[in-house]
Amino acid sequence: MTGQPPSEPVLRVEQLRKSYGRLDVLRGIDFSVAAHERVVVIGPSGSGKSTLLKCLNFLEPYEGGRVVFDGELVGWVERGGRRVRAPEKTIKRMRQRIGMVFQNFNLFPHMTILENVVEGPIQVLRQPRAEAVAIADELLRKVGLTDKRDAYPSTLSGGQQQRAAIARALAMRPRLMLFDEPTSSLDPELVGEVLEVMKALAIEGMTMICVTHEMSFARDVASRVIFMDEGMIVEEGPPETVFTAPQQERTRAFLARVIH
Amino acid sequence: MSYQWHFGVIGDYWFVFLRGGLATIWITLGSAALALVLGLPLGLLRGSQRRLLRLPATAYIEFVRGTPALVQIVWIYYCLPLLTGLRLDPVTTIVLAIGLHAAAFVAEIFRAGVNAVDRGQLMAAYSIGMGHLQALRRIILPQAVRKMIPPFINEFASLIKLTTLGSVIAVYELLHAANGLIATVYRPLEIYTFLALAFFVVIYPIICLSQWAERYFARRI
Repeated sequence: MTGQPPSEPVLRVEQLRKSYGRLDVLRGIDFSVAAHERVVVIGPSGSGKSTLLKCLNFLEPYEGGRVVFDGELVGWVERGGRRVRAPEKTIKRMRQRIGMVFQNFNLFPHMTILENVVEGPIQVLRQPRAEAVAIADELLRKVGLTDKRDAYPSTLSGGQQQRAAIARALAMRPRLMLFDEPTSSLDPELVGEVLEVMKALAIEGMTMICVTHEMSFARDVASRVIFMDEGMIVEEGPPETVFTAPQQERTRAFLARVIH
Repeated sequence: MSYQWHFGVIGDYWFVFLRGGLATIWITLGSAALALVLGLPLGLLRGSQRRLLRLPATAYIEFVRGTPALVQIVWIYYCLPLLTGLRLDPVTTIVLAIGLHAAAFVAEIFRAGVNAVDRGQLMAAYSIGMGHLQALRRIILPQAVRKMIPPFINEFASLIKLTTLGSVIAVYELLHAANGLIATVYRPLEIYTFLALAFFVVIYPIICLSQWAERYFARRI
């Protein structure tokens, strides 16, 4: 899986553009993520952060520019100078290596927590059940949900559901993890337990991109912070620079609003 | 009113009701099977992204829902043979007509069930590398089916009631059997009252079952 030369980033985004009808949501995004980097994307609502994340694993098709994951163009293939949607097999293979955690957890409600975690490994990766269950139990222990393995999602708190969703994504052994506002729909007292799990992942060296409004998480965990506004990257840098000495007026205004 | 009720007539002619009841059961089961077999793919087509697949299915569903079942039955019985030369016996006609009719409703229930599943479920399924069909089979349909079961049971109850329309084309189902008996023994009050009660005794538990299923699945998801 890690056959790339060390110089090749895990993810490279070049001039990424996306619009819904006449509304330009992403207007030329450039950045790249090296292995073991933790990139935190911040910015006001409607700035295109979530859309950006969904373009990276092609849950949202982008129109312009390139997303290159592990040296491969995401979602499209060039054919006779034209771009056509890549075969489903290619897109599926790419998604297997990119884990995603959603704002609303999106656990499968008709399955127990354990079944949620082993679903991908068994159905998609064709792992033997015993092996998948062993790995899932280890992951559930890691996110502190061993006692909930046979419970249904609806009986869990939001924080527990989100930790289970992280375990489900990790069970695919992803090379990159995407977090789409993972704590935004949680009660305040449950935010901490999810952030702890994400911090532990960061310490283990997981490559991750996280869209969040948790500035403390950005400050503590990010190796780089990207500030987005109106579909563009306004400012980018290590957290200590972006938070304490932002270069752009818009960054300053945003931080003044969110940090009390 | 000093009418003398003689419900004994029901017992005397029980075999008439047995024969009519069996016909009603067969028509119900036959048309229910046809409605499911046609309705499920119809519902899938109706929800398709492709216009070429979606439009014919939509046209069929809307036309069937916009015309009375009785008119559909007499049309298939009297007009279809004139147009095509294909003459169907009354029982085949009624099974076909009610099946085609109910298929449109089954299709709508099916589509509504799939639509009722949160879009985030599809996203989550894709994000772990599932393809569209696998996501439908493993994630969307198992949840949709739970939402579809209560309305399906309700549809089955209306289908039983629809079978009585067969009497207009002389299908020997319960109502037609009752009419025949009335012509012989002239006891319409007893016979129609019994008929209404008999339908109620069968249909009411089905409606209760549907309501119970709705509460049961609401708790589980």
